[in-house]
Amino acid sequence: MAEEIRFFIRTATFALLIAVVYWFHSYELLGTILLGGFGVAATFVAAAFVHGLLAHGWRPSGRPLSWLGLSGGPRTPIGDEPTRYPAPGCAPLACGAGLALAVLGAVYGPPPIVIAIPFLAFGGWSWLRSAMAEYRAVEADGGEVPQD
Amino acid sequence: MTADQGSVVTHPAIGTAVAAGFGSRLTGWLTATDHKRIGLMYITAAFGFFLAGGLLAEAMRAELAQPGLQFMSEATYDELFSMHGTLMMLLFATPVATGFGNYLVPLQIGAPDMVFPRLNALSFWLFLFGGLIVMSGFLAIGGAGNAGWTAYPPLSEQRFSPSTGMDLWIVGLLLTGIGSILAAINIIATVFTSRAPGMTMLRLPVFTWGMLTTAVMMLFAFPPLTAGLSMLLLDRRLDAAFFDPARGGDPILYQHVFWFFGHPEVYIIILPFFGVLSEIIPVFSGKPIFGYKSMIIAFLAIAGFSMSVWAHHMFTTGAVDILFFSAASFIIAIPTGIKVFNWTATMWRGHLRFPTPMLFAVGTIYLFVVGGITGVLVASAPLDFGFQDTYYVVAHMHNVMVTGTVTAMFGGFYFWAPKALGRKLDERLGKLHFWSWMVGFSLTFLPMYQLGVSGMPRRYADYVSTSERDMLNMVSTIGALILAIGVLPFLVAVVAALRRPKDQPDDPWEGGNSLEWATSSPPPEHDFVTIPRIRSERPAWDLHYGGTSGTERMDAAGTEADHG
Repeated sequence: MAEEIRFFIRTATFALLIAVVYWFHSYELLGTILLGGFGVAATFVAAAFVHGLLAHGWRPSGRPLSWLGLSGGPRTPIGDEPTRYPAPGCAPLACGAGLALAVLGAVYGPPPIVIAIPFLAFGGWSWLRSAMAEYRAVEADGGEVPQD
Repeated sequence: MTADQGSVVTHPAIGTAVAAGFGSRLTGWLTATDHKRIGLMYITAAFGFFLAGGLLAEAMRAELAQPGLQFMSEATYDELFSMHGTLMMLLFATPVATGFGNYLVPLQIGAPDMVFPRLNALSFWLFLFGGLIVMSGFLAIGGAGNAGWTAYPPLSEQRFSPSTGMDLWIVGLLLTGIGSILAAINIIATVFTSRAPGMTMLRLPVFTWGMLTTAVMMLFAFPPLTAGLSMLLLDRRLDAAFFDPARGGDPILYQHVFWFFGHPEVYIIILPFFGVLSEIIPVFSGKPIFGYKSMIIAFLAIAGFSMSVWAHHMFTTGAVDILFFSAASFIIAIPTGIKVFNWTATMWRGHLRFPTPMLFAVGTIYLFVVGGITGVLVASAPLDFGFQDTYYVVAHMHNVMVTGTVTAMFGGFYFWAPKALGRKLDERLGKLHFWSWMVGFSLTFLPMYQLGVSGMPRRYADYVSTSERDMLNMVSTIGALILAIGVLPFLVAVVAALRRPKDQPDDPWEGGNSLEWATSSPPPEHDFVTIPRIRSERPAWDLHYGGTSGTERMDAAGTEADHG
């Protein structure tokens, strides 16, 4: 876990540092916003990892930075799911086709969107049904239920 | 019934393999959630776009063989170079790298699949449908997108590019961009959460490190592209004014947003193939990779700096800080140089073998160094002002991008084909492919440097005739023809291999390092029956040859994890 958090914290630090250097070097707004946004996004990902860590029951303790996982923490990765993987299914294909038709609505107006609706409805329903079946099967196995 | 990797299915009730018809095989592919199948689908679809983009390039080179217009209008030429760039950069190079990652990352880290298999399949379909929408522009009224692969406004705005094809170009790329973001999330999550016991971050294969850094860059670089394209679509369809200076908009904003994606995109495309080279070269040098940790640091440095050099594409706008971006662009050459040094040092005093994958790897290094050196020249602002929009930039860009992706990709194909297909590709055809590729590539692109120095601008269907330009353009066109014909032996080798029975062992190259060489060829569903104990960054080599890594000696009999 520590390396995942470190990875994104370093990314965020690098981006924010470069943003500061760039601003004082150029006073150019757009580039600074892009670099700063890169840093904020990396910070967000790191925060999400920390949140996941805390959700798994781990609590901060020890030295100041240990709560970030920089000196210990759980050995198992976040979201370590039981080995149950989806069977083949047409949900991704239906969702993909539906989304493709839906974006064509931006060019050709409502007709493609109307055609997309059954694809998206069927794909979404099929996706949820498969996911719920797997969820129940994992529960029945007594395994850990995946965190969504 | 559950489809397996080959042409048979296993009926769960009777437990025997029965021959599968075409229908059930097709269904197996259309409904696949297995990472290996999705990886192969990515690679096949992306290669299809590569061939289409290559045909467009051949048509352009034929047009440029002589001065004057030969057989196409200037408007058609605009469409061809725009779609060529789009196909190659966004519908071939990025997805083919994702395909390699899809196929190899779970195998290399000892995982049974990607962590989100259905999302993985959705990513592929979004990419494929997005690509087809972009291509469908050729059938649209007014033709395909014709504002270059960068689609700068105001050229890409409604009043200058009124064709429906331009709108299809935008929405198609929006869709593929979303697919790429989803694929990146999947790869990052897989590497961070599904590693086999013992597979620490500093034992990850170099290719997996390449894919991880690539995925992180995709995660941060693609959203700005999505935002830029969305703003462009709003400008075109809903009369918004994001990029219209007459109504308070700013076209430079699009350039910032595009290149904040576009320059990392260069490394998004190349880093996975740096990883490919780093897998091939040690195997055929009989040595571990030289400077494993420095390779990882170089990946991270390239990824970091690539996010802060985007505006070197905008020097001539006068709207960016040239000193900052010029310095950052020079600095990024250092980690790239480290990689080239490490590959060379890996070969130094190694037990070298030169089958086709190694030839392509060495060829990549040679051509890439030429591209890298010419890139350092255009990182210098005074030279960049001179070379801007000339054929020098075309030559440099192809020397880096085509070499870094296509040449290395072919090496990867030959290297992992025995693993993925269970059959080796023919060596004689492979060598013919390699030499025709190298000769064709050099003849096509080296003359373009001189054309650029002489001031010939890119993106024009015609040029002012001089004896030097006529001769160099003709040489370049002949080179492009050799390049195209040179791909045929590869296609023949693939078809011939698929017609032979599967006969490859776990480690067909006798020296494989990473975990994929410790499972069958092709791997079973969920990748492994047993996983060897992982105590170094070369677990397969340790397993097969009982080697040592640092101070640890591998327990070659160790099979402790069952991911079946």
